[in-house]
Amino acid sequence: MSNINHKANKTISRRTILRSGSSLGLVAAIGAPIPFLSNLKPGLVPVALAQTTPFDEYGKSGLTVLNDRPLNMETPPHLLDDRITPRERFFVRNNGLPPTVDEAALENWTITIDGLVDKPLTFSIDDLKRQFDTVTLQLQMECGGNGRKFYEPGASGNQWTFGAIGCAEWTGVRLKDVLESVGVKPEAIYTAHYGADSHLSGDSSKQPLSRGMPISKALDEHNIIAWAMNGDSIPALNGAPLRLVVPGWPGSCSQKWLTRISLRDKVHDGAKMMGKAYRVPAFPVPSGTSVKDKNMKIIESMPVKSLITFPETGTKIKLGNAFEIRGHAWAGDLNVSTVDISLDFGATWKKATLEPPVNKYAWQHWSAMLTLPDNGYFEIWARATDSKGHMQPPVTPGWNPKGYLNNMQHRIAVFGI
Amino acid sequence: MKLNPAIIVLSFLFALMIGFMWVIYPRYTDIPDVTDLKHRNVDFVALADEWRKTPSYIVTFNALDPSYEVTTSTNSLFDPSDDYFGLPRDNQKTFELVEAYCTACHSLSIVMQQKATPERWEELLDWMEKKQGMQKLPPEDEMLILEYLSTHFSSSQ
Repeated sequence: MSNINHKANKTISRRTILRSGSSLGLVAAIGAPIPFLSNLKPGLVPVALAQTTPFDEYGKSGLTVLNDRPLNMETPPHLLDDRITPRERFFVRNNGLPPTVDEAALENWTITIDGLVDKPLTFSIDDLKRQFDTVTLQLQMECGGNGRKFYEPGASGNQWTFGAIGCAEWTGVRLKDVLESVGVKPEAIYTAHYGADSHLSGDSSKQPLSRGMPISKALDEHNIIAWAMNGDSIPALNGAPLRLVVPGWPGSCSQKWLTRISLRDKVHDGAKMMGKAYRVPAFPVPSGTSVKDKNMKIIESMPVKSLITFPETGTKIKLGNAFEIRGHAWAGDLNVSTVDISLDFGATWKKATLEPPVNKYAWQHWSAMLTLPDNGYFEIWARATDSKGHMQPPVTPGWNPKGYLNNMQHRIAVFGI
Repeated sequence: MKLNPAIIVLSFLFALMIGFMWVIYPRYTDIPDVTDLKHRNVDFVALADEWRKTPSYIVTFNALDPSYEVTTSTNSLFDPSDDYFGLPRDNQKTFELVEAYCTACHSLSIVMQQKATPERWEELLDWMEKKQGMQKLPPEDEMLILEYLSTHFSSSQ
């Protein structure tokens, strides 16, 4: 018996564990057998495990791997400089193991709309393309736990820093159109989303993630069932061939490898809807408080936030040269009204030039020209304010057990040389 | 004139004290001339060059420190080439248990980036057993594992 047989034999004895050598450990870590493993020289590590190697084989490059099983990767801020996040730079958040989508699976992919609807229906991707308007929108999507790393005491989960955010151009049909075509019953108040990924334990009766949203949000015309990203196919790790895109809310609402949406007369109770998942305390608590599940509420809109994507932190800048700094800002369901920049640790602020969103829910681009006044270490701070006057805090906002919604100001370092 | 020996001894001690202070305390002339731009610039370039190499673990925890962006590996201990993925070794050999139980479902990389409170670790194990299909841990293993995780991957370490 080896580590990979745990699913078949749930009893692990310490002795057995001792027998399993490093190569079996590797197999266990990757979650799949490695062909020609015996050819692997000691000291060499399969690419899938090497933390610093770009995951080129997944069509991703430059991302930081936080976890290799399930695979989770974030984008360093300076690689998010593009106005539209490239496919290879879009972050990856997996709760389970992605499905293998081969040609046949692609041909036969369907999505079922059922539950509290007048007539439950199943659509192929071609059906969707034929029956509904195709729309293309730039939509920002951020992981609810982006910034988790900076909470103290630590919050459990992937320790995202800044880069679990992207704004791609998604093409698909409006979720609203599809729901209305099957007839939403008046008693439907909540959606439940299902995908084709599988649970880490290998138990096929378990879902790794199945979340939903209130029907009012679901009927917003900016939610789309997407089959294309940036005019190309969706990367496998980002949910190909079909996924939901629900902008402004935690990324987990945007089910990947989408197979079914069910309407309910109560809040969804699927995987990662309950307990502490994607929830924050219903009232503010001191850091480190153990909060009872009944006092946790579901996260809806993400908060206002901004990133400095140029220059890269640590850049050396020649004195006397004016240089551009720029980035993006977004605000969940709202718009960003201003972005301010500070070069003196927040003592004074200067207004950046801010563009309106290309469409609602697209992130907004900002820029400013700066000149360093002296040699030495400077920090540039960026601070966005949303259309309701909420401003990014200079420190982590309210501590919560799972470390969600950290929208503290982004800072980069520059050196005057 | 006859000198009081006590005064001689005291004077000697006083001179000695002044001498010591001269050696151990910095003098005004020790402060480098910061108006010397040439000297300054060399220091600033070195400062900028060195900054990126600062490893995260010696940076005092500061949520806002921009160097967090360049110290990208969140779980610096995680080592896929090690038999136990870089898990800290303990005398009770709990690292073997941790490797075995945890990797049945997920990578140790997610374990080793945590800095959770002991209470949170207990909650997490409970959640994995009850909701995530982890096998029920024998109580003695559970105790060892909880202690190990709270020792090595905790906010209070």
